[in-house]
Amino acid sequence: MGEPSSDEDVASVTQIDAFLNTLRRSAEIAQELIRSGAQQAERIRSLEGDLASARLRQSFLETELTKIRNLLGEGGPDLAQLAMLEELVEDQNVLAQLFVTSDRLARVESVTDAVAVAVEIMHNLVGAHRYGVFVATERGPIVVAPAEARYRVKDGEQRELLTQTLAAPAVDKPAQLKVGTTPPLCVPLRLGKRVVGALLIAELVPQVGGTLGRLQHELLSLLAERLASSMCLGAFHQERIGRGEPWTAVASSLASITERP
Amino acid sequence: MSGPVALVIEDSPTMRQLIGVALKRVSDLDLVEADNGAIGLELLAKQSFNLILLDLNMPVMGGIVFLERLREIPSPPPVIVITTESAKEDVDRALALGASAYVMKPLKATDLVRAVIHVLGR
Repeated sequence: MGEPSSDEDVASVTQIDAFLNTLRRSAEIAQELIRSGAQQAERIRSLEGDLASARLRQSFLETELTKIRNLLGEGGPDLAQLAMLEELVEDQNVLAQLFVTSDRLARVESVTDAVAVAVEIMHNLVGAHRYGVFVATERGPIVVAPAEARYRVKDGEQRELLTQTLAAPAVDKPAQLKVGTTPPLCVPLRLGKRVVGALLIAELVPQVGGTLGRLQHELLSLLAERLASSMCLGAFHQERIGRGEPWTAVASSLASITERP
Repeated sequence: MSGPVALVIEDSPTMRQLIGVALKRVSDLDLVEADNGAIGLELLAKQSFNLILLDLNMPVMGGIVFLERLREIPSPPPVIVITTESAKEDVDRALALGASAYVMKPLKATDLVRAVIHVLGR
């Protein structure tokens, strides 16, 4: 064999370069694969962290769901109890208004006081927008309140309803006095067994929904029973104070009671 | 008086009594009453209040005029308007003049208590 030619030398060098390049490229690919593997491992760790967090969240939500189910199913504050609570709050509101109405009617010192209290209650508590407080006289029913014309029923308005109410026996409950009734409605003022006047409501304020609610019903019932006797109390008080003897008549009555055998 | 004090400006004695009954649920709250805005301003000049409950429709000085005058006072107390007037412009006017909240008549005790607790920041 002779010495290799120069062309053969060049070919060998080129082959070696190509081989080395291939080796370098392989090394780079191997490094990239290693890096990629590391990244994937990191990503997997991150996903495992997320999964663990999601499992904790799921566990928490399942616990909460169990609590809610227990509350709803085993004597917790169910819907019926919440409804009862709302009713109690409403009862308290109604009782507060009835107490104030009753107290105000019991403290009158004149007939005009009694009428003023009736106006305040009709206007502020019942929510009557247009109404009339009527009293029966020998000349027929006359409207005594409210003073402001914009709130007062018009002359002759609902005359037939008013006449029917005044003519009905005192023991009869007026057909209009029911929860949910829409005005016009008329409630008799009773004094013992007599009907001595009436409350006529032509219109309620929009806030009460335009119909007779439970509160309005209770207040009107109380006024129907008490307003006339409150007017009498006012008249009595006024008359006795005018004569300078506010307590004499009462004291005399009490004395006569004790003198009975 | 150690707790907060509210000035109730309302011409109706019935309403004042009802407000008093309703606000018994707000512990430590004392009430001082005035039956119109002019008396309310006189009381404000003599005493500090944490809250004002104000009717809009009153004789002598109504609620809107009172609110206008209240703006002349530095750091006035918050005002809750109590009114029968369903017209939105009355409420809007009161709110524009600085009222913090409003409650409509016929008064519901729970509405009033909620408004008072909210305005007092309890």
